[in-house]
Amino acid sequence: MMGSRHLDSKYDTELNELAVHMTRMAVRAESMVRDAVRALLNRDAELARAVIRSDRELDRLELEADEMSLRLLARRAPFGEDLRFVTVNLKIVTDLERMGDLAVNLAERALELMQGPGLSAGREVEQLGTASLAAVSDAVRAYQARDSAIAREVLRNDRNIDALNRAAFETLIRIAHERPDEFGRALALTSVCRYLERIADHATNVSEMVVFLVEAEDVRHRGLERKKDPE
Amino acid sequence: MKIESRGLDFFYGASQALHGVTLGVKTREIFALIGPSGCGKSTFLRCINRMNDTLDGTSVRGTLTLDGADIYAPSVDVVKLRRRVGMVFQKPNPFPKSIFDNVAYGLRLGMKLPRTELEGRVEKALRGAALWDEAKDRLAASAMMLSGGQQQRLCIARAIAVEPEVLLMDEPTSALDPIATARLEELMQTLRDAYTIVIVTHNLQQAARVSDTTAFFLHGRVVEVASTDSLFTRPRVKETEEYITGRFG
Repeated sequence: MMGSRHLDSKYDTELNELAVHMTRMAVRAESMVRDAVRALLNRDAELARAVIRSDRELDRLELEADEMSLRLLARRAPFGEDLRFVTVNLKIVTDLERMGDLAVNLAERALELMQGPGLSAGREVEQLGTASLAAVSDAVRAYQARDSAIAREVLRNDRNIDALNRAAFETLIRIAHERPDEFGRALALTSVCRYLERIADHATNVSEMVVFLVEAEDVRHRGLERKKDPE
Repeated sequence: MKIESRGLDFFYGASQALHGVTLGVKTREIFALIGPSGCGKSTFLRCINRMNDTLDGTSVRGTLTLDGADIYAPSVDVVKLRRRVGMVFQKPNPFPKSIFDNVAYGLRLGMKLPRTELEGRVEKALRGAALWDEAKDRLAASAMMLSGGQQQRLCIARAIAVEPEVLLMDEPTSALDPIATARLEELMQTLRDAYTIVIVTHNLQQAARVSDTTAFFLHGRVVEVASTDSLFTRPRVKETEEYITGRFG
């Protein structure tokens, strides 16, 4: 938040409580993604099951964050950076919660894939997993530090993640064609790639919100013509 | 621009209350002036219809125009100026007369209107101020019998009866309850079709709700003028941000 304090110190406390709560939720979502990727790559069933169990906690944090934001809107009618902070949080919680859901999906697919041997497409999937996880970590770091430079870096890297996803997908389709016995597992891995790519998309959404919070610039949907400010 | 201020300085004796105020108010927009007490927003408002002239020892420097004509030119007839620029004050101030006479007051000054035309103009003004339905059956009753919100709408009716071009409002809802405030704010949205409105308000939510453009005043200076949407979501100046978010540096 800004360096200066509010005249009403309780308002500062309420905003700080929301910031701490959101950070807790962001860190929880990040660790779910990290553990799901690790469970997949290291074939760690216990870790995968832990990810699935921890989703309820993330859902609880989401409901509490929404309640805190709505209370601030109703009681404080914030303006300026405070308004951006509260509204941005209302959007970010959805992205964090979806990241958690996708981490659960990833963990479930990991458990299925552990039933058989590894696939030759493992390297591409690992690259995509590492890149998606890095996007999530950077987005969370950008949010915590209110650092729009880190957020903009995440936005720039999104294209690389799309490219990694396409490369992995093409490899998996080729394997499915060439080795009919691997068809089912290759298909499951395409789902894994889709989850990882969507997780990175949510990290991108969070980063866009960080840019809006810090710079008051809406960088979403750049191609769209915007209504001009009547000044 | 309907109203244009360029480098306007204002003095109460030796004390300077406005420092180089430069801003423009477009025709038929609602323009809000916000800022802490003593920042000069009401002084600026009262310059627009030369209400400050009634105080001794005041002086003005710079330019303030209405439709391009200098408001402070020696040739300006202040009574005629105030017909073009009406004013509504913080506290409802009806005269101790009937509802009808309050609205007809300005029309009777310097005009000899036939009774039927006078009645028509009073009805039109009361309708314009959204008070007709509540007042039509008791036009002869004392204005003092009306509620606070009704009295303020009566003052608006009195102001618009002489068909001004600009309405100045100095904290017009600060003495009203939330329901009367909501009615007045709704009325302002209707009035904007015919009038240019400049409003001083301490209520930031009100400025955000009703106005098209907002100017933030601090220590007699204009810190920032922007579209209301922009000023309340992404102010450009640190002082504006601190004021609207209730912070101190």
